[in-house]
Amino acid sequence: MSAPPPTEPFAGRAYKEGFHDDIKTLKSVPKGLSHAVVDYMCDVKGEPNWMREFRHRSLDLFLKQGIPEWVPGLRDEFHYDEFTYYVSPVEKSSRRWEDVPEEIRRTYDKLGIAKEEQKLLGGLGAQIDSEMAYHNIQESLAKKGVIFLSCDDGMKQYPDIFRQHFAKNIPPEDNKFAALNAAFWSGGSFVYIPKGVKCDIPLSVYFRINAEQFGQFERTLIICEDDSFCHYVEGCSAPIYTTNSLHAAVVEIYVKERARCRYTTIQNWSTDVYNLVTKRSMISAKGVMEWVDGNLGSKRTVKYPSCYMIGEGAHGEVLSLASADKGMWQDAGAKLVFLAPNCSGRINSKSISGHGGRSSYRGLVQVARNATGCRAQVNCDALILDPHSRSDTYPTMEINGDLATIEHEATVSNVSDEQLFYLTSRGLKKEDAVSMIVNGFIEPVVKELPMEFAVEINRLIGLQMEGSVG
Amino acid sequence: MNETFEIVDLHARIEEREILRGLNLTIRKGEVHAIMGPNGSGKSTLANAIMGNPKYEVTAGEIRLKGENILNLPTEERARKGLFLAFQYPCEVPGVRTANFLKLACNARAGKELDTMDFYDKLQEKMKVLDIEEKFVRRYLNEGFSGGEKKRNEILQMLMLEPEFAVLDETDSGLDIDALKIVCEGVNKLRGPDIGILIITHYERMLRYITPDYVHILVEGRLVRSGGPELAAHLEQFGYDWITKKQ
Amino acid sequence: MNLDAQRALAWQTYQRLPLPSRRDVEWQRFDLRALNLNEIEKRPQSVRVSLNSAPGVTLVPLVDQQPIGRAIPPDEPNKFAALASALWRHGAFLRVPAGHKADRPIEITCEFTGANAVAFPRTLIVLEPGAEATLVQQFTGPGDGVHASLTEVFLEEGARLHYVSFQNLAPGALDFTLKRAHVARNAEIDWVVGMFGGSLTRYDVQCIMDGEGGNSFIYGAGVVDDRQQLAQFTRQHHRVGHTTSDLLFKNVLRDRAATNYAGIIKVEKNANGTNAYQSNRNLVLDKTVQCDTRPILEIESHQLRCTHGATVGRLDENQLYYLRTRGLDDTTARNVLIEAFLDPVLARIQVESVRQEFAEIIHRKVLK
Repeated sequence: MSAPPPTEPFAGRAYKEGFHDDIKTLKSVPKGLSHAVVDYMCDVKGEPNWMREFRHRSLDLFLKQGIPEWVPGLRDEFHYDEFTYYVSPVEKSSRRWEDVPEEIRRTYDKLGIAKEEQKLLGGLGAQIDSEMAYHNIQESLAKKGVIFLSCDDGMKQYPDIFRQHFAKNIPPEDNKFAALNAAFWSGGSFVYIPKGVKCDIPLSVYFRINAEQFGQFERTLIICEDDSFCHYVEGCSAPIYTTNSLHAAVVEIYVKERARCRYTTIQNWSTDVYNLVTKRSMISAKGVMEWVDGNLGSKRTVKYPSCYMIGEGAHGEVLSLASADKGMWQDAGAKLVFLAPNCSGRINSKSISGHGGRSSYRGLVQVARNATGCRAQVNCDALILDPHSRSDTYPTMEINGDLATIEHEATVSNVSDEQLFYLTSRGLKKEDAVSMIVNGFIEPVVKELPMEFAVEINRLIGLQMEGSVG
Repeated sequence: MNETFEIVDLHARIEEREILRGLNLTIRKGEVHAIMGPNGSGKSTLANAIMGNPKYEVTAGEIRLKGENILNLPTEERARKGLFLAFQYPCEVPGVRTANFLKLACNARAGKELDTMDFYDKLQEKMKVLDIEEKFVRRYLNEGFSGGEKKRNEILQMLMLEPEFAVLDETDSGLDIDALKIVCEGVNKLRGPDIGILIITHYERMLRYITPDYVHILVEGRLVRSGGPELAAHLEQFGYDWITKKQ
Repeated sequence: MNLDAQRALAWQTYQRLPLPSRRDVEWQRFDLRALNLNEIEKRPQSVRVSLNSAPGVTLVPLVDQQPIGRAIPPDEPNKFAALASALWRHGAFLRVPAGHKADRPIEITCEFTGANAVAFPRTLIVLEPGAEATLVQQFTGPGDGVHASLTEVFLEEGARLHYVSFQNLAPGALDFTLKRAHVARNAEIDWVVGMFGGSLTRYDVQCIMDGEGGNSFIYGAGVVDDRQQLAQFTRQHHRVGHTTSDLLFKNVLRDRAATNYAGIIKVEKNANGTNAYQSNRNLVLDKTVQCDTRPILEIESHQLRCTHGATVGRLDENQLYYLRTRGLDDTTARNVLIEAFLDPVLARIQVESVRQEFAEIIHRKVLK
């Protein structure tokens, strides 16, 4: 945590996760992407042949595909050969915290992901660079048949369930970054909730990038069988270097009939990290999917959690919170795709741009012709804190037929002088007044979070507010 | 000619819940009836069933207007035959100007295109009765109207359409005392040998200004007691508990 | 740049720009097969422009008046605008002198007449400082073929224009229209746009807020049926602060019609004190239609109030029931509600006879 140089016109927030530790690398590959890297990864992971073929095919697709046109700017900034595509500081994923190498434990202690957290959680996973260092689940949940493993272990231990769902929801053909992930995926979680099982306490995973100029490609597969429930929470961070890193995750979720899944993200990458993520859920009849997507860090985020409602009466919901501080561009949003009758969906997006940051909401609501009686409601509100910052809103609604009701509302506003005056006239300091207004602004999203995470979000946003209005 | 409005053994439900369970009532022209009942007794269901709201399903019984069973008639046919419902919650229809709408409705009721001048003369006269300002009818139908304005608009429509049988569904709710008096005066103006009126209400308040000929008490989808105006006063004094306990 | 040079540059631009295809997000799901641009420059132009002026204003056929091409330059990156800039032969020029208030509505009617013909009517409107006028502009006629029109509007300081423009071309017309208004300090445009005819219509309606205190109110109504395709693009560009723009576009769709609305509010850096509103409301009447809407905000200023919204919905069942309890049959009740949906746009028209005409066009389409 260091003070900004005096020449800076405005200060960004202090990033306490920006340290890096010297952690011994056990396995790694040379910089750049190639078929040789793919082969190396398959060899050290001991993967079946079908996966090797899948990875090679995905790499070919990646090399062929262009960056989607609407992703602005990325094309010119990117040099794929700058990154290292596989770095592992661990031999295997441990089930006991004591078995995790000490230097890695030290990193996690500093981040506050101490072992104590397990008490609040149904399961905890910790990934460092390419591999999961730790992955464990509470005995009581394991007894009910809940599976919570690293994605690699999921493939090995439950090959049938894995292969039935893997890449069926997001195939490598979907987009360039999904193809990149498919070629180099490593780590992430495999979650299986059996029929009727309600997993009331959250399963949580923390992703840490420690290596420099590195690409992290975790892959998560969540299957909620009929009538089940689960809440999955992820957090992340990375050191501050002078170079860039890349994080391209893929998350596939299957919410089966009447099941409910909630997926909470608190993304807090350093401003070195390009965060290009594909997240999608398939929701069967009367199932409910809830994405709570908090984007507070990264150099650039491109991420639109999606709900594909494939069964009658499905419900999809996205709560999106983006805070674009100095050096950040949050291109976040959501997608609701209605493919069955009588489904409903809601998107609630709040973004804050300050210290020259830029936030964009990009959204799609699509209604197929036979998806009658669907309703969707989209609200996006943006707050701009200073004249150096920017906010954009790009919603798209594509409706076939008449039997849908779709509403979109958006506002962009600033912290008004009247509000500031009113609050300061009651004795508040200006910074506290701004912070109060901002907290009020994001409240509708934050109140949906579990308490620990709400506190964390408020802390992170609070840090961003420091000295934000001069 | 049979100048009655009859409800015979009416059963009705909304979604899966049965609300009316065999309701019987006969109203002759010239009479004012009041149905009083506690919350959830079926008052609104009755009003909606009479008018044919598609959300309510009549499962048994008949509703006869001058001897003809109207249950199979669409809503607008019922209206054209002289049935009128003053809504508890009149809906807002932005974009439709109140006067234009009234003209269309009067044409539909008359079955022919009315002379525009005659129509406006009549409208002016009725507006005076209800103490309604000129600009009121140029506004969009019920949009942004206060609760009192909406209710007055319902009564204005009733005066314009000159129904043979009118149902007033909780018309007193949301009205202050002055507005209530004006609305009741309007109803009293219309009262006479050519119209039968059914007032549906929770409170006795409205009946102080419109004295009914008959009062009925609705509990759990049936009329459990009938009497004269004194029944309303009694109810006001002792509350619905009195009747439900007696049951 | 003189007119010949403009035409030459415009023709180059036209030839350079690719034809839109379904891959363009602006044209996806639009069927452009009926569009034939072969040897377009050789086809007969058949437009009849009639002018009905008011005392004290200049209203003449457009020949070489200045400043043609300043709002819509010849190299405008829009294939059809460039085409019209290169080939236009007919049009109108309206100038209202400084401080003059035109005492009756001015009318410009462009009639597209020929079969398999082309038409490129161009209009230039200049209201000098403090001038006030009401302008009614119509595009009509039985012609079929390619119709591309350009309208440039300059409102100088403190000028006020009430501008009603509507298009009711025959079903065989493919219409590409670009209208751009520059609004100077304390000037105000109150604009109503009707889009009814043609088989394929693209309407670009833009206001550029150049001076503080400028106001722009833009209201649009579209009614499409019978496989009509209507693409609408609106732009509210706030170059300076303390400006207000308010836009409402309402569309009614049925019978295999398609609409594609894209609207942008752009607020430049330091355009503080901007108020911008944008709304696109669509009423869909059956399930054969296709309705896309994309309301976009690009905001670089931090002291502003900006709101937009879009809806796609059906007729309200409660409203239908309410009207039916008053004796209106189902069809009449529906038609009443459709016309009611568009009424807030019509209500902006200040000339009673024009509002009637608008209402009748809508009524005829609704009854069809």
